Amino acid sequence: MNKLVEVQNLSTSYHDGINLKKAIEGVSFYVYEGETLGIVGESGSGKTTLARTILRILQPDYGLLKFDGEDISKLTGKKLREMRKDFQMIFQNPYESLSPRLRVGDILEEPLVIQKMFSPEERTQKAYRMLENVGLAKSSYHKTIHEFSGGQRQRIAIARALVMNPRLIIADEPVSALDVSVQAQILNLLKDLQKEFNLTTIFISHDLSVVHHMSDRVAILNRGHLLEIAGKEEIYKEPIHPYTKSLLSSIPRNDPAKRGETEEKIEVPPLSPHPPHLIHIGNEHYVAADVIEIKHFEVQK
Amino acid sequence: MKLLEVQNLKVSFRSRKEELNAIDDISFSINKGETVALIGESGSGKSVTSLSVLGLLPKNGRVVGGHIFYENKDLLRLGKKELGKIRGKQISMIFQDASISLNPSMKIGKQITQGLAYHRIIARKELKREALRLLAKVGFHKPKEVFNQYPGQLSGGMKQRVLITMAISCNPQLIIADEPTTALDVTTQKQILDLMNDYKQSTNTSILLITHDFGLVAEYADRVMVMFGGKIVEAADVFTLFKKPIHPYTKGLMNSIPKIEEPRNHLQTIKDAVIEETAYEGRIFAPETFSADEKVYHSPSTLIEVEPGHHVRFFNESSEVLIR
Repeated sequence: MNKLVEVQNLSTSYHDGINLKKAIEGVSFYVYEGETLGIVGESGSGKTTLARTILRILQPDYGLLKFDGEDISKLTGKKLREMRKDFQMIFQNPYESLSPRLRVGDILEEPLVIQKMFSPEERTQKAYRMLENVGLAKSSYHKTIHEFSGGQRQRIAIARALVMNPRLIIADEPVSALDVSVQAQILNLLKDLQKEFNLTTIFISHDLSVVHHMSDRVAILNRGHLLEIAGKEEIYKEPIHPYTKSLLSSIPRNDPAKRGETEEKIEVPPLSPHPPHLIHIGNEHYVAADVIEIKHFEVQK
Repeated sequence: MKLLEVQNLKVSFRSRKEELNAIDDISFSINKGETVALIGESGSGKSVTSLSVLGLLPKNGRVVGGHIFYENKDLLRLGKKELGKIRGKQISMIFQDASISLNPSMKIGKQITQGLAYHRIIARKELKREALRLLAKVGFHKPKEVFNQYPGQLSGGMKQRVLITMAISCNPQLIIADEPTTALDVTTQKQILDLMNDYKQSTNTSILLITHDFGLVAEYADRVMVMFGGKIVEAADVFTLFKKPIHPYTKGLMNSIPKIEEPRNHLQTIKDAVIEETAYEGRIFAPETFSADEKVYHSPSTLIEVEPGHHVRFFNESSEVLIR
């Protein structure tokens, strides 16, 4: 399978006025074409920074960022803008990510206008088709955002992302601002569209159940370091890193009958000052093995 | 023993044009030492219910009818001063967003001792010691340090711990927790809820847990009420509800969350759940729960006990409102 995105030793930092603060450090992974990689992390784990760096909204300090085999970590100007056709992002809060002044039609056509794609008539046709794809009425084209509910707004945000026929979609907590019943509709829609358009997706969320539902492989991020990455079933059933274990054991079990079943308490080792090395333990299962942590777990394979 | 009893509570909100019913005839009770969960989506009226208990409704909201009995007193008919004696001391509250609930320019220690001083629970010179004891109790390793810090210096989870410290400081009989962990990470969420649960068990305090998360209900509640559109659509003890949910809205809500143990390709949406079934043992479900049609939305419906302690809302067939 073709690796559409390949990230090696990626690091991005912010200036807080005095110091350089590393938001992500030494992150390496890849995403196959057509698959969904879930990235799980708590607040402050650097998951949004990672997304923004891959989309090149942020400039990485160092590291390799390959898109379809080409290093894009240092692209600038016109070349970068052209590259961006292929990436789209779906944000968390559809109340803030869509312009309140534009009509939905304009919102959908704007990216095409910026990239000078198609004639005006073709753009309109495309916008209509996109509305249909995400399950909204054609009449939505002429309305403004305030006429829509949160779920409908997120549908519009998805339509806007897909209108460019992107090769990579990054969805950053796309359902955490929504009610559970609406969340189900949006997740179903995303899954359908993934299949229909053969999308490659990076799905970022703090919600382990949602990530499990959406992803093929899952990566665990903690305070800027990638600690474990593996196929979905493997990482949920046989996690190795103590941090992954403690995350998984914190999920409510959805069954009162299982309440009080004692689970072993998991010690999470302190974060190492240096980015961990990921070792491959087979079956595309990588786990952080740095000097501090190695004594904390026994490799199970 | 019943600690709190809400009877036929009705709350409405004034908007520019009209009066809207936020809570429509809700009745429930909380026993001593029990955790009762109110679960629903946004707009279901779960928070409004809890705010009415403590008389904290916003200015445009008012209680139109009903009673809230606490120790034989109707909280809705108490004066400001009398309610003030109960609020914080016997019934305390934990809100969703700790960063809004805490005063950013007041040290943590002061915020904790304020309530103790107001209710004159202990001598003034004992205040600090008591606060430090409480902070240690909720899991702060260095209570002295936290005592002198400002909320901005603490993380989200630590702030939520401070709120819990404040809520338990006067040894309340009932703690109302309105989405206490929604803003927190999963690992912190578990710590906070385990902390509350341990406190409850060691002191026999009652908890009214307001949430949208069935996972938390499964883990911590004794009884559950599912709310929709200002009404209770199903109520039962937690084991019954998870084993045998009856109302399609309850089922829809349960099945719309992805579950790791039972993966499915497509999540059931509430609409799907409703189309599949409209009746249970010959009774038609209250249509307001699944129809966007205004007319049927306000059709009369009643909570009916289908088995001991298990109530489900059904459509009133004696009334003339038509449903399609």
